[in-house]
Amino acid sequence: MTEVAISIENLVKDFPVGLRGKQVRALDGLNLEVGANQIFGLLGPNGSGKSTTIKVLLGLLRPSSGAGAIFGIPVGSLGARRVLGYLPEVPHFYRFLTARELLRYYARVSGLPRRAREGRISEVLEQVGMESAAGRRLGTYSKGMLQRVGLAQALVHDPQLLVLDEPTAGVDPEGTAAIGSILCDLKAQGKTILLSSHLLAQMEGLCDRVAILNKGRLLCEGSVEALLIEEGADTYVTEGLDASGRAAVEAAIRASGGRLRGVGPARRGLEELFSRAINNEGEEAR
Amino acid sequence: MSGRIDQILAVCGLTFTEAVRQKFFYIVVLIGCGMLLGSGYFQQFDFGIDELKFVIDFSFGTLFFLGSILVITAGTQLFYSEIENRTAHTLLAKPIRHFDFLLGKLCGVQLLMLLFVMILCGLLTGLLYLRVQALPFMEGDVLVRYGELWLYGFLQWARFGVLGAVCLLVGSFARSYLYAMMVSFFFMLVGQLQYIAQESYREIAFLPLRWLVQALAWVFPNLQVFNVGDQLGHMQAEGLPFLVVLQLLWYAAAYILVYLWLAWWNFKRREL
Repeated sequence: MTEVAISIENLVKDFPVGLRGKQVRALDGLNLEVGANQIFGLLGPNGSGKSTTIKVLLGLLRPSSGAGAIFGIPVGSLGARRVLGYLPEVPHFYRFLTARELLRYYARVSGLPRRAREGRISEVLEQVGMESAAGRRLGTYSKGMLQRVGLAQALVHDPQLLVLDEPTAGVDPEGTAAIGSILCDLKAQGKTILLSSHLLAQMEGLCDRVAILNKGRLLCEGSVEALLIEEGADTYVTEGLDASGRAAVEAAIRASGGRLRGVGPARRGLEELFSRAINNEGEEAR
Repeated sequence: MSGRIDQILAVCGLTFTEAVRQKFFYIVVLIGCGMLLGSGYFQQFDFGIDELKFVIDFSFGTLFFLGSILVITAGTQLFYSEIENRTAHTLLAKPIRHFDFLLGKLCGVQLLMLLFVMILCGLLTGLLYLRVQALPFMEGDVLVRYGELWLYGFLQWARFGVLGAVCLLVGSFARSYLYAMMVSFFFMLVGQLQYIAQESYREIAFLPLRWLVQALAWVFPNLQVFNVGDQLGHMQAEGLPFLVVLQLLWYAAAYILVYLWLAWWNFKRREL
């Protein structure tokens, strides 16, 4: 049986609003299980409860009722925080520090022993592709670079679970692809990754499983494949067919009792187009 | 245990680095130095020994006044900015205890205040030394007891520690930086005026009410007890018994611990 990295049971979180103490429910009886070594996507519109769920997992918010555990350790405890790394939606760091100094600080705060520190810092800098800029002050970094340094600080104490809140928010597609590739590498190393986003296309290519939240409730949860497959419908992508060829295919479908729901040109995603264009230009420049 | 100490030292070190990079610190230090240097110009009035007393009193007042402003402004800002900028989120998601985080912050602010006290005390010592050399006095006369200047600085540093802990306590529940700073200043003001409250409750005849008022008064530290400038530094001062110094340090330490504990209790329950 797969080890459970995150378990959330009947989680309710109410926030008091106004002086009369009226409560607004941000999470409404959420049940969720995330297996180890998965990339798990938490999807939902703004205000759906994604960030609240993450904050409860980190121990920054206390649940009104229900419970959560990380690798069996109650959320918020020192033990739970030892096995998780966190990247916030908009990482604010100390602008006067260099990336290496920042990582040294977080490594010390994480309790990483001195002898292991420098080696680990170099390792994570390489992992996120920031070795060459490690000596520059964070104040001079672009959004994508800050996000990568944020990822490095989340990784610095080698946690088993990574919790990433909108890791690609405000990052250009190239940076987004780079972060996606880092996450895949991390998964290959055995890490579990929980990420929240409302960029659906991106999550589709990255996640093993997803959960969709709305108004604090879980709408559906499962593997991306299982959730996206439309039962009883197929897609064919053809190439080089002329009008008569197309008519023959359509006739064959009808003859086999099928119904052709639509025909149109095959499209690639905008993200794919962008990546190809950038890569092609890079190759031409070389 | 060494891991915890290293965590506290890490927070302390970063807090101090952040603090000494702030322009406000340099402005306060420059104003302080300017005031101390300005006090030296009173030699043109030829006050003689009284002039030295004036310079010492004036400098002690400067240290006390500017130090109070600096500790409250820096203490509040350095703690509250962690919440406001959400750096506290990434920090507290790491395996660090809330108490250690707060202690690290307080130590960082105290390190800043130590630097401030040392700069002003060093300058005052130098100024008085130069002035004493220029004054006509009998061989063997001790016009300035330099060690006591530093003792005053040290006791003020302990007082700043109490105010730093107040800033953490207020910051642990405050919802805005301005609010945190105003309440901290209010705390300091009440602490400075404690002696008035103490005189008043002694006159209350109804015992339960007197105890209640007395208990309320204990919430605020009596910062007036650190005003020992008259007893230190110049030749006419009677000096401060060692036992009193210990009592003052104990008084400061007790309030720092209680406020720090309350700040931790509050901060641990705070939802970020």
